[in-house]
Amino acid sequence: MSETIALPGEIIDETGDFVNGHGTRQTSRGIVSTILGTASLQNKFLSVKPLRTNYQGEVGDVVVGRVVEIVQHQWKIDVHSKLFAGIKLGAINLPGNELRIKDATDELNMRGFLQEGDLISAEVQKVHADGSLALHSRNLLYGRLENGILVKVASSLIVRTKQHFFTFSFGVKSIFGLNGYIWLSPSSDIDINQQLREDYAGASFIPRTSNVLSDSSALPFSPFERGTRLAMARLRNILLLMNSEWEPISPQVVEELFNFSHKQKLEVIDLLNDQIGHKLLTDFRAYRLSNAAST
Amino acid sequence: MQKDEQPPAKQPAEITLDQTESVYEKPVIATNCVHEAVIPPGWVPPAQTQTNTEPAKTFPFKLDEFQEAAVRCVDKGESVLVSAHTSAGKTVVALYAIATALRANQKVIYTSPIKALSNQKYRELSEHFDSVGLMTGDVTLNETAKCLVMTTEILRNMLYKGSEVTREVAWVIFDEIHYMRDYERGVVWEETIISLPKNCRFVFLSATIPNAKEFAEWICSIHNQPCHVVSTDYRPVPLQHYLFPVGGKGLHLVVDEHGVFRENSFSQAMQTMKTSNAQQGSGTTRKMNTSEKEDIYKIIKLVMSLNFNPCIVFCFSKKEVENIATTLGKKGIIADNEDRMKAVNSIFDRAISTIPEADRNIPQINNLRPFLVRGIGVHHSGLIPVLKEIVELLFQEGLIEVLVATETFAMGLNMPAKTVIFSGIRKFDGKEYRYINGGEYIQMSGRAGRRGLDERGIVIVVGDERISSKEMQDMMKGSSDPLLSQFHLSFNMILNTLRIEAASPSFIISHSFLQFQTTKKIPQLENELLELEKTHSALPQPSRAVDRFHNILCVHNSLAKSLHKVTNAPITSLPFLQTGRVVRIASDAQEWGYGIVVSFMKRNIRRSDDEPSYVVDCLVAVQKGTENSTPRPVPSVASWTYTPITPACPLPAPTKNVNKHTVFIVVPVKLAAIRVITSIRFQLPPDLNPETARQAVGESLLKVNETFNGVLPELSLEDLGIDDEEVKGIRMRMETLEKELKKDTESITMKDIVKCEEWKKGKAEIETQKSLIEDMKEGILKRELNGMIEILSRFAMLEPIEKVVTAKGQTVCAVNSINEVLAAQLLYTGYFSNLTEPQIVAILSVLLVQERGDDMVEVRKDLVEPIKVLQEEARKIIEVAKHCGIETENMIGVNLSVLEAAYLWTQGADFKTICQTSEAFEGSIIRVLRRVDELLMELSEAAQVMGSEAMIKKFASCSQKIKRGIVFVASLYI
Repeated sequence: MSETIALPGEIIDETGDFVNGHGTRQTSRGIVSTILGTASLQNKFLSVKPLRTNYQGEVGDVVVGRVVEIVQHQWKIDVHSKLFAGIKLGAINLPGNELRIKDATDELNMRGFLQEGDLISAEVQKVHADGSLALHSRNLLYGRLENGILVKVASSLIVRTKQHFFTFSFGVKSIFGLNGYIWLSPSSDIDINQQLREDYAGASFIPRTSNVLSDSSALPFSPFERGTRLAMARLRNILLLMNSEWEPISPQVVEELFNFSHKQKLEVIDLLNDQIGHKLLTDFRAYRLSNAAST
Repeated sequence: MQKDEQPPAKQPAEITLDQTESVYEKPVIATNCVHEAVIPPGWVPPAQTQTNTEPAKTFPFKLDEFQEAAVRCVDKGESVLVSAHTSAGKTVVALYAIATALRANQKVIYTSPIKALSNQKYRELSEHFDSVGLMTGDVTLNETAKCLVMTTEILRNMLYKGSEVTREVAWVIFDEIHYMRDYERGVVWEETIISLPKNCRFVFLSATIPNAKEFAEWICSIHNQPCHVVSTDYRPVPLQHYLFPVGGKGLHLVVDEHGVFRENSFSQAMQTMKTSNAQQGSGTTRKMNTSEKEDIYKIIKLVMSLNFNPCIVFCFSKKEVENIATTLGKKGIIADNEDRMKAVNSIFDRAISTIPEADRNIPQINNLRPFLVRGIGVHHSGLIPVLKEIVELLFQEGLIEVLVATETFAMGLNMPAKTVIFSGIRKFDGKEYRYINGGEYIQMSGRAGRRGLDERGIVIVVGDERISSKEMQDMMKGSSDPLLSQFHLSFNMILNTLRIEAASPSFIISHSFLQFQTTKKIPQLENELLELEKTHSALPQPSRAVDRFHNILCVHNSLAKSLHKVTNAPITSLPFLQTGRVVRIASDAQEWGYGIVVSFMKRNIRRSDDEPSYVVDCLVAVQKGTENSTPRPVPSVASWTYTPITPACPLPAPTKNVNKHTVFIVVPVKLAAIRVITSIRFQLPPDLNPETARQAVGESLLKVNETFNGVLPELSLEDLGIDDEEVKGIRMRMETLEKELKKDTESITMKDIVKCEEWKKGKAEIETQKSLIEDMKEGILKRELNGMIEILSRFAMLEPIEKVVTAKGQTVCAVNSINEVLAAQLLYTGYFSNLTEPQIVAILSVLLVQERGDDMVEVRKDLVEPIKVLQEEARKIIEVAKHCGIETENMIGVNLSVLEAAYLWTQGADFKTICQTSEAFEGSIIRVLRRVDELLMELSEAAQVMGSEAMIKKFASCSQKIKRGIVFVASLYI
C-alpha cells in the first residue's frame, strides 16, 4: 500500500487502470481527489482519506459520545460526525438482561436510562447509506460514563488498535473512541459502574433510580486521590498536545509520552505551553527513533 | 384398515407376499420417553416471577408423554432438546415455546437449515399465530413480526451485526439440529448458538441422536443454564421392514413392528437372490438395468394391489428418479381417475399461473403434468422450485399415489405415506458408493405410516446380494449417527469477530462443540498414551553402535530419496526407459527386484495442478498363483528403506527355486517405483503374450543377475546426463556414508536395525501423542487460526502487526457466499470494472455451483479472458494459503456448468433457451441464479463500504437483469 498527499481537484490517476473509492471522483480526465487527504492505493483500488474531518464510522468501532436529544424510541448522540448518530431503545440491554420487546412504557421511561447531556460509550452497529451511524451497546463494557474527563481530539489521529479500552499503569483508565473523543477516569473506581451494572444484571445503562425525570445524577460521585487527579490532568494535556502537534494517538504511545514527560521533569501545566510542548514532542520523537534503532 | 388385516385374494400370480405370523398382530405402541437434564453446578433456579398455571397453548389432542415432558420444561423457562422421529410430533413443542414467548411479549425465532424448509414452516406457523415473519436470503416478509422464521445463516449474520432482534428474542427454536453434521451448515449452527445471549432459551428439535446428552452438556457449559433432553424412539405408527431381493419374486419381512430381526426370512430372501442370479448367469451391475426397473414396477404393482398406497420411492440420484418415473408412467400403473385429473389440473394451472407466460412452456413443466395427472409425482432438487412445491402440495392433498423422490424429501415438513420403498441401498456420498447408514435409513423410512390413518407403515427395501445379515441389521435397526461437530474456521467468522472489540475468533473456537467434544476425549487419549509408554518401555533400548548405524542409515536414505527425485524425474529417466531396459523396482512395502521395461505411457491428468504421471509396463517375476490377480500399479515410494547387507532379493516371489514358484508377467509400475535404472538392455521378442516367450526372457534376466552377483551395474549420473554440482555432492556424500556403513555390516545385523527402528518409532509415537494432547489442552484449531490470519494479513485485509481489520477487510465482512479473500481481491483489483453484466453474472455463477460437474464446457469468447484472470487470482490465494499451511482443497470451487446459461439469462434470453445450453437440471440453474443475486447484494454492500459508486450501480444493474421471470417466482408457501 502506498500513500501520498492529495489536494482537492488534483488528478491522482490518468491511466484509467484503477478503481476509485471514497474521496475521489471519476472524471473524463481521470480520477480526481475531492478532498485534502492521503491518497492510498491498495491493489488497484484508489481512495483518499481526509486529513481533518468529521468522524466517519465503520462497523465495530468503539465511540464515545454525548446524548443531545431524545426522539421517538432513540437517543441522538453527538459523536462528531456529519450527522448525529442514533442509539435505539431496542439496542440497549434492559436491567436483569431481560429479553423482551420494548413497549410504549419503556419509551416513556427512556430518560430514566439516558438523558440529554449524558456521555456514553458504544459500538457502531451499522453505517446508514447517508453516512449516519447506528450505535448499540453490545455488552457490559459499554455504558454511561461518569466521574472523569472527556478530551476531544481529531478523529483521524486515533490509531485503530485491538483494544480501545485501556487501563494505564498509573491509576487511570481510558476509552479511546475512534471518533476522537477520549474518556479518562480513575481506574480505582473501576467497579462503581461495572458493579452497579452487574447489580442491574447486564443493563446497558443503569436506570436513575431516584426519579426518572429528575436530572440529578443518581450515581454517587466518588472523590479520588490527588495523585490520580494529577495523572489524569497530565494525560489530558498530553492528549491535547498530541492533537495540536498532529501526532497519531494510541494508548501505548500516550503512555510512553506520559512517562517521557515525567522524565523531562515537566509540570502538568507546562504541557499546555506551545513551545515547551513542541520541544517535548520533538525530543520524544527523537527518543523513540533512537529506541527503535537500538532495538 | 380392514383391508390391511385381510390379505387381498386376487394377488398377481407371480408375486407372493411372504406371510409370516406376526404381520397381523396388533401393534403395541410403547412410548419409551427418556427425560434427562443437565444443570450447571451451583445453579439456583430463578424465583418464578409469575406463576402461569394456565398453559400457554392448548392442543385439541392429548399430548404424548414426551411432548408433555418437553412442554413442562418450556413452562419452567428452561432449554430443551427434543430428540424424536419426524413423525412423532416435535412441532408441538415448538408451537408451545412460541406461544410461551408471545405471551410474555418476547420475540421468538424459528430457524431451519434451508430456505425451502423456512418457507414451509412459515406457512405452517402462520396457521397458528398472527404475527409471523419470514427472512431468508430470497424473501423478507413482515420482519417486525414477533415470531420470525429464518434460516440459521441469517440469524448468524444478525448476531454478528448485533441486530436489535437479538436483544428481544427470548426463545430460539432450532429445527433439524441433527444436520449439524453437515460440513457447511454445522458450523453456522455452532457460531449462532455460541453468539446468542446467555439468557436466551432454546428448543432444539432433532431426529433421534444417541449423544443428545452430550449436546445438552455443551449448551449447559457455554450458556450456564440448564438444558433438558427429552428423547424417545417412539413411533406413532410402527413399521414393518420388508426385503425385496433383486430379481426375486416376493417380499420378505425382515424386521417386524417390534423391531425383531428375522434371520430366517433374511437368508431365505438372500437365497432367492442367489438362485435368480445364477439363472441370469451374470453378476449385477450397479447401473439401473431393465430388470431392476422391472423390480420397482413389480413392487409398486404389488403395493397398489395390496392397497398400500400412497407410497414414496426413494432413489439416490436425480437421473434414477426420472428413469423410474418414466417407466411407471409408460406402464400406466395407476388407474385413471377423472376426479383426480380435474383436481390436479386445477391446482397445477393455478400454481403455474404465477410463472410468466414466456417461461411456462419449458419441457420440465410440460413433462411433469401428465405424470401428476396419473397420480405419479417426482421430487428432487433438479426440479424448478415451483414444481417441487406443486408436488408437495398435491402429495399433501392425497392426489399422488406414487412419489418418486430423492433423499431431500425426507427432510422438513411431515409428509408421510403408507409405504416407503428404497430402490436401492447404496448411494454415492461424494467419495464412494456405500450402503446407506442407520441414520439415513431412519430418516427416510420415517416417512412411512400416516398417523391416525395407518395401523402400520410399510418399508420395502430392494436389496442386492452383496449385503450381509449384519449390514442389513445395522441399516434397519442401527442407531442413528451421533452428532459430531463439524466446526471449522471461515474467513468471514474471523473478520467479523476481529473487528469487534468484545469478540475474538478464539472465543468462538473455545466455545465450539468441537472443543467440547475434544476436551472430553482427552482422558481417553491420556490412557492410550500410558498404554503406549508401557509397551515402549518393554522394548530393548538399542545399543549405541546400533543407534549410530541407524542414524547414518537414515541420513543415507534421505539422501537417496532426494537423489532418486532427480534421477527419477520424467525428463531425466524417460529417455532411458526404452523397451528392454533392466530396472530395479520397489514399492514402499515390497522389493520387486529387477524387471524389464516393456513400454511406458502417460496417464491422464485428473486435476490441473497434478503433475502428469507415468506408468511403466515392466516384465517382472511374481509368485506363482498370484499372476492372475488384477495387476495394480506398483505404488510410489513413501518410505525409503535401504538394505545394505543382503543384495536385493529379486522378487516378491521366493528367491530360490525360481523356476518352480515364479512366473513372469507384465505389470504396470508407477514411474516413482523405479529405483534404479541399470545399464543393461535386453532384446525383447516382439510378442510377449505367449507365456513361453516371457519365461525365456525372464530366465535370461535371472542368468544375468547371477553373473553380476545380484547387483547389476547402475547408470551413473554422467550416463543420465546430470551435470549438477549439488546432485554430484549428494552422490558423493552417499558414497562416504556407504563406506561408513560397510564397516559395521558385520557386527550389526538386520535384526538389530529393525529393533532399533521399532524402538524409535514407538518413541516418536509417544511424542506425537503427547503433543496432540497438549494441543488439545491448549485449544483446538490454533494452527489453522494463525494460518488464516496470516493469509488475511498477506492480502492486506488485516493490519500485519496488530491484526486489526483494515479497510479492505471491512469491505468483505458482508460476503458469505464465496471465498472472502477472493471477493476482496476481485473488488480491489477492479476485476468487475471492465466486465459487462452478463459477464459478471456468468463469472459469479462459476463460483456458486454446488453440484459436481464436468469442466468440459465450451466457453464463449468474451468469457475466456475473465475466467483466466479469475483462476489466476484463485491460484494466487491458494498458493499463499499453502504457504501458510492451510488446507486448500475445496477452498475455491470452480464449476463452469451453468456459465452459458447465466450469461444468456442476463442478456434476456428466455428460460427454455438457457436450459438447452446446460446439462444441469432446471432447478439447479434457478438455484445458482438466486445465489448469484444474493452474492450481488453482498458485493454491492461491499462496494458501498469502498465508496465506489460505479460498482454499486453495476451490481444493481446485474441484479435487476437477472431478477425476472421463472427464476424469481415466489414460493407457493408464502
